[in-house]
Amino acid sequence: MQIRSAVAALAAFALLGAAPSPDPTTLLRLAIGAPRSVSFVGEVQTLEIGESQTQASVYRIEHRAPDLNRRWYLAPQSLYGDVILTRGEHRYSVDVEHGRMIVDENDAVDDQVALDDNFGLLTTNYRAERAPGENVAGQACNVLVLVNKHTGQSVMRIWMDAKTHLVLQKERYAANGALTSQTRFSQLRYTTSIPSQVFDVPKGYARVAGSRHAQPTSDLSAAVKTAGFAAQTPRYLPEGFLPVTGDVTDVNGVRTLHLLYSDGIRTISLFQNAKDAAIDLSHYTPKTVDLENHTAQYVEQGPTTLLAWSEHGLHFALVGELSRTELIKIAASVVP
Amino acid sequence: MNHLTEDQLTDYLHHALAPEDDAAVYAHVQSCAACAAALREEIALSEALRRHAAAEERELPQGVVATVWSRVAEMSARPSLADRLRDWFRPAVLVPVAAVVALALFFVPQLLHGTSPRIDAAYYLDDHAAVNGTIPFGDSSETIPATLTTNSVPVSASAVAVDPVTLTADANP
Repeated sequence: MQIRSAVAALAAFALLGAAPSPDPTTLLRLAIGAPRSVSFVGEVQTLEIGESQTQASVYRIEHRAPDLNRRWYLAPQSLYGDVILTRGEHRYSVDVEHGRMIVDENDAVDDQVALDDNFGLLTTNYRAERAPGENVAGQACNVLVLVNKHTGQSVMRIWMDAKTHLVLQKERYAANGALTSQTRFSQLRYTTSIPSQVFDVPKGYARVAGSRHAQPTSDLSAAVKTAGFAAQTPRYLPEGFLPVTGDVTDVNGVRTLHLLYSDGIRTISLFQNAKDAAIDLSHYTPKTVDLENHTAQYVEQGPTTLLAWSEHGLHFALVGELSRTELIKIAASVVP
Repeated sequence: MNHLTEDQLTDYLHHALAPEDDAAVYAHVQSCAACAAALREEIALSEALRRHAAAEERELPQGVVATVWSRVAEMSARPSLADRLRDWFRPAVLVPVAAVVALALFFVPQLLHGTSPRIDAAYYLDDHAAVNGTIPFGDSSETIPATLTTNSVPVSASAVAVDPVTLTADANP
């Protein structure tokens, strides 16, 4: 009898041990797709830590799969009561204080081909490693650390619900390991009964037409040709970064080329125009920095830095979450 | 009586008409809505010019003002203040002055701010966040739009269709 029990136990152990456990890459893929199949309500806290300023926010969130999303800001005080409603490609940003609603359209959000390509870039440049499981907002989570294959540095840590695969906490780190951003659910409840009226477009606000972000193309040559001027590209990019997409937009009547570079997680955007259309930094407190043979101005919004300069009749803006030092190095390599 | 001419209105406004003409114009304005509206426009323009002239006068250096007034004081048989003001609003003076002021109002802001369009930094930040939507774990849905945090006015931005081209040696970006 004892032998029979031991054999049964061994068989059970062998079976359990053989049970397929999703590999980290599969878990990442499941996490990306989770919002399209899971509905929930909750409260989220965000922290964006820049080199000279930090932004924090708290918002309530209602999400109905696949693509209805409503955020209601509780903090900071300047945004209290503001709502950002996303209905597929359309985003409605309700600015309560000024009685206005900015309506944006973003064709890029549903670009599955681009998402697949960029996921391939992520797995090329990053290794996903499991870390011990933890609880977030009362849910048991798998924890993955994304390690840059070129530098060996941990760039991101993700806590995903072990059952639904929804990302409940996410942290990003700078090259030196410092935390640069954190997004975390403090409360969460899964539900399939969120009334559709929650996602109705608010009324009573002055509608302001925002930007229409086109679905970018991976054919960068075509984008450059459409821009119609001798566009420039950086001669230096951090290891693993590749040109990913490009788009052309008429901004205030100025034809502007936008090239996006990414390593699968981190991104930088290079904007340029050939008209005498300089950047307006009047809503910020810009600082000056020296590039190789001229000066540039920069502003920071949380971990995002915008670096702007003009050279040989071209106006450039470089935007990204890399360190300022790294962005300056990239900017200096853009030589008309 | 036909509708009043611009000259008649200007002269009426600045009391430059003979008494009988002044009375006729007054009576006409009471009964003609179009001429009454034209007169109101003329009054508004005069008020704007007067305010602008006053503002300009305030900005003159005190030394210049004092010199002008001392020269005025030296002049004998000088007209009254009301007469001098009236002279300023004679059509022969008013029209060139109005033209100069209009040109200044048009060109000075452009000289100060440049003649070219400017693109708000918030646009670049928001567009960068928007394209992050295709990056795994990109933060486009979590980022607060810069137009909200800065209270700036969204710029007019419309996408330009990018037609695929055949890759050639000179098309390499």
